[in-house]
Amino acid sequence: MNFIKIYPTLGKSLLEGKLKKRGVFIKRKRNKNLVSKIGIYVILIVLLLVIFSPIIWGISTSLKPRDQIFESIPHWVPRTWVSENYRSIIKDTPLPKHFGNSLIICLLTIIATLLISSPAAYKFARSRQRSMRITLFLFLSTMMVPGLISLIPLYVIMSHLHLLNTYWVLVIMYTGWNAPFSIWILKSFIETIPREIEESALIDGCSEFQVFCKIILPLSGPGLAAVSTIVFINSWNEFISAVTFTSSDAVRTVPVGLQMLLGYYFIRWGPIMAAATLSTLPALVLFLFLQRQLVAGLTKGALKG
Amino acid sequence: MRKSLTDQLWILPAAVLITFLTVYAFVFNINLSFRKYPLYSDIRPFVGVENFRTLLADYFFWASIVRSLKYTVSCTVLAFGLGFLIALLLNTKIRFRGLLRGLFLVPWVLSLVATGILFKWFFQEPDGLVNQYFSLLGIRILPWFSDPALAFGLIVAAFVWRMHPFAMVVLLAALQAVPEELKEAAKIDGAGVFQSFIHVTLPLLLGPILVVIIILSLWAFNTIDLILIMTRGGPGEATNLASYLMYQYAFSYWRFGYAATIGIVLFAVNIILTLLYIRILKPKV
Amino acid sequence: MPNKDNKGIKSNENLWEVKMRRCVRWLGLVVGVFMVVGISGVAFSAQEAGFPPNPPQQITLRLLTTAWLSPLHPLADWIGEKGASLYRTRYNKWQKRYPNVKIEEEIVPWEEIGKKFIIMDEAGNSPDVVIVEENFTPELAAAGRLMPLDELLPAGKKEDIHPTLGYLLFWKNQLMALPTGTDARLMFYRKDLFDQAGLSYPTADWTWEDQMEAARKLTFDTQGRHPGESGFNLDRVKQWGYGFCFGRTVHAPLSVYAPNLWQMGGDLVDESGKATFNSPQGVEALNFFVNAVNKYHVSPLAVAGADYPDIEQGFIKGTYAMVRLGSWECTPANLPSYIPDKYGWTEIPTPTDGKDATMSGYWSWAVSSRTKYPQYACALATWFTDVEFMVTMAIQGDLYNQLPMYKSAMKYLPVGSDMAAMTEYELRCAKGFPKLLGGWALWDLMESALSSAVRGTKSPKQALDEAANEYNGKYWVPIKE
Repeated sequence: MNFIKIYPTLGKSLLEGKLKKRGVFIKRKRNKNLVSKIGIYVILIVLLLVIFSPIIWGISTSLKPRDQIFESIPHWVPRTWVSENYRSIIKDTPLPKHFGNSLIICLLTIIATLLISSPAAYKFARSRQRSMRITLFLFLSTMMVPGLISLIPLYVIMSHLHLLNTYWVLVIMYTGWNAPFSIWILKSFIETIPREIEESALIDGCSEFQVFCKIILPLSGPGLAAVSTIVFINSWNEFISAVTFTSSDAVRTVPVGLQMLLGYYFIRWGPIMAAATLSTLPALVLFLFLQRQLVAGLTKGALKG
Repeated sequence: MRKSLTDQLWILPAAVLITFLTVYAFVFNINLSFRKYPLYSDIRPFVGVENFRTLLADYFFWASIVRSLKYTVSCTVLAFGLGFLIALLLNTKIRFRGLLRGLFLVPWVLSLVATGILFKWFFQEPDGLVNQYFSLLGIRILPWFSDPALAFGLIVAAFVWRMHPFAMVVLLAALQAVPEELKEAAKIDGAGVFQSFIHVTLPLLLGPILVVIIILSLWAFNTIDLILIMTRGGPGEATNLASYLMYQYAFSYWRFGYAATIGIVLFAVNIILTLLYIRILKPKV
Repeated sequence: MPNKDNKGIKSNENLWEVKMRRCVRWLGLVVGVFMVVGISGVAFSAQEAGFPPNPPQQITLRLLTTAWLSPLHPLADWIGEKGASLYRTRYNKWQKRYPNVKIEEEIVPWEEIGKKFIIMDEAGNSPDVVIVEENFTPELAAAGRLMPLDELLPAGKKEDIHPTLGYLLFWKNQLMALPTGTDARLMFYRKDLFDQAGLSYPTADWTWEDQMEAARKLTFDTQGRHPGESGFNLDRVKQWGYGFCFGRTVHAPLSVYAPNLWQMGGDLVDESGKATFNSPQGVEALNFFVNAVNKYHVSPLAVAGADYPDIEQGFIKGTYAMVRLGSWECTPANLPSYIPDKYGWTEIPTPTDGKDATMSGYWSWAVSSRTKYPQYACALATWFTDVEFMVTMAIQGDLYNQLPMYKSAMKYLPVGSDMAAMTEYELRCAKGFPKLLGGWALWDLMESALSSAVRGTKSPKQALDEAANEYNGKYWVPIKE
């Protein structure tokens, strides 16, 4: 790394494990400059308001009765609060069913992605062979194939395999598409785990597989969390192949369900805003719970590039 | 030899799946790109490189490539800039940092469909919310979706709005990994905040910065959904990116052969970007 | 005639003649009986061709459609309860008649139907029946993806389809799809805003000049000044006289521009499918819209990128006093639920010396050429496009987006109703999409031309010329039936 060249002693000692202690420094060093602190708060809050304004406006619309949606003077706070839009979405549309499907598909995708990409990532991280580097590049290059052009050929394959309109078709595709990215992130993460631990374990007579299961996986928890989150967001929001490869409500996912609410001749704005709000909830909840691990996972991976 | 064979076993599941999903599709499209394959005809004659020759002479395509590059650059710079700014602000010692960090991640959670709907709803003309405020404040209202430059700006804004949390989260993670001792050492050496940032923090972040930039630019270059929902390439050709042009040829003009040709060229452009990326990060990969 | 009395007098010859006559009579009778039996048999079998008997074994028909055109999907109720329940009743009747025909629906968002059908068909997995937008049928028919319906239909069904509206459902003189109800493009106006301005409501005989004059009086800025008056501030307009949409997502070139072009006597394309909208009539028609924005200042520049929802909302908010929208705005979920007593509609104003014209769009039921059960697939399509049923559904479900487009429809409609008036207008002078094989390229090119003319970056003539040449040079495919 660059800074090791510039600051050899400091950099090395830090890399060897003092990184985790950075929290101590942060707490100890209280910034006395109140003005700049207030400045930071102000900027953050302004940014937050600007970024959130479309979302807040959408939520506000979802809580208004129909005749207050289009008004020449905008009201951010609904004059009358109603829950009918949400009730209509939950009771009268198949969207709740789509939520369940999406959750199952995302969960299966995460499991499958972790299952196939963590061993690969481990090998890529530990191997110095040229062929491995080329393989990794080939993996990454599949991320560059425009997804659109594979719609027809994949549909042909999936229909021959009788996989159309099942959870599995989406799980297989999402896993395949997320794998290169996940392998790459996990690889960077595993590279930060010191080799010495495994080597001593190998000398003690553990098999490579045991080392992987008992040492590498537990140590790469945050990396796995980070990958899971990114995979979750990608699969939760995927639209084009979801609409192509599924055809019934039994397996349909949320983005397609959302799009189906848009009529040809008219659009019921209130319920649609309610549905859009609802559709972000699961991912949001996940974020609030997992963000610590997500950031931690990326922290380790990130510096290694 | 045996060692390398077991090595490959570890990679096998991923390799099989990825190959299964891409190789046939890729071969199918290579084949298609040498054929004339319109919807209205049931024969698909082999036409050699005619599609590629047409593409070379296709003014629309090259204009859209230029537009795509413009879009990619502006999206990447802005999403990166905004993400970096927020990351820097969140990396200070303030309260509610966790909560704020969580909140700033929210736009990333929104699906592109929802993003498109919200943006259309927000910037509607002549009397959407933004314009209503403009006229209340006495500012000239703007034809958001009718003016080519503004419409282009809007799809950039929508991309930046949805994708900047990715940049933010990666950069924040990297920033938090910068050892505090280094900054202190720099301070002792007499460097100001700005100088310490330039000379200590930035060089350390170079790796993550490049990762974010390249990934953002790949996402931006391949944007389809957002344009489909917001502008469909209009007004005029103002928001017709190369990726969307491919979509149009495939599923709107129904010329699969030509669409596949565009797809192959876009793939090549993407590969060039990746090579650039691999090259820059070579010591690390 | 004069020899009438002499009948039967001449002996031998006569006898023979009588015998012959009897013979002929017998023969005639037999032939007659045969003919009667035959004709009724043909008629009967034609009826049978439309509706075959319940199949002996269970069969499954796959129907690719979208929620609001689905007899089964719960979202149909969510979108329009009345129409959906009528649809379902009709479906229940079908089930009673064909207990062995199971219908399996594939529901996708409406924009995805065409794409999904092609992908399924390419994989050899196409649905038996598909509901598509009408402008899609020629391309599907040309590639042999659709089943010609002529021999499967009940007698008279094909002839009943309105010729100008339904003509692109025909390929090589064979009917390829059965249309559902259609919509008509109309002019809507705000009664309250007209009252405020002290103007009388628009009528069917309005000309473009009448409309422009009224629009000028209905446009004013925050100080109450109208366009043309000194100090009128274009950046502070409070209310616009006229709203239309040239955005890309609504086939605006057709929906908005084409009626004006047809009123002038021009046409979008000629018989071979070549673009002809850059004729003098085309330029004149476009000038109407360009002038509304740039000369008379009665429409905002925003129309260049607006879609139907945009101007609909502007109309509801009272930003626009007159708008070009479609008959679907009269359905319960649209204008009646927001501004029930404040809007009215009339025919699209015509140029002086011009003729009436409007535009219609519809969806149609087509049968895949790969289906294993063409008879039942066609019977299903026929069942749901029955004229009487569609009229009942339009009236009872308040479905102004489903105006019947069969010639025999008028007799079922209540005289004097809005529905009847719209249907009459539409059957009298509406045209549908032109028959093309170039996909949607023409619409995109025209959208570019129209919006750049409205923005003033190109003159109308130049913009239309460029679009027409581009289309004819690059996308045009000669139509050979």
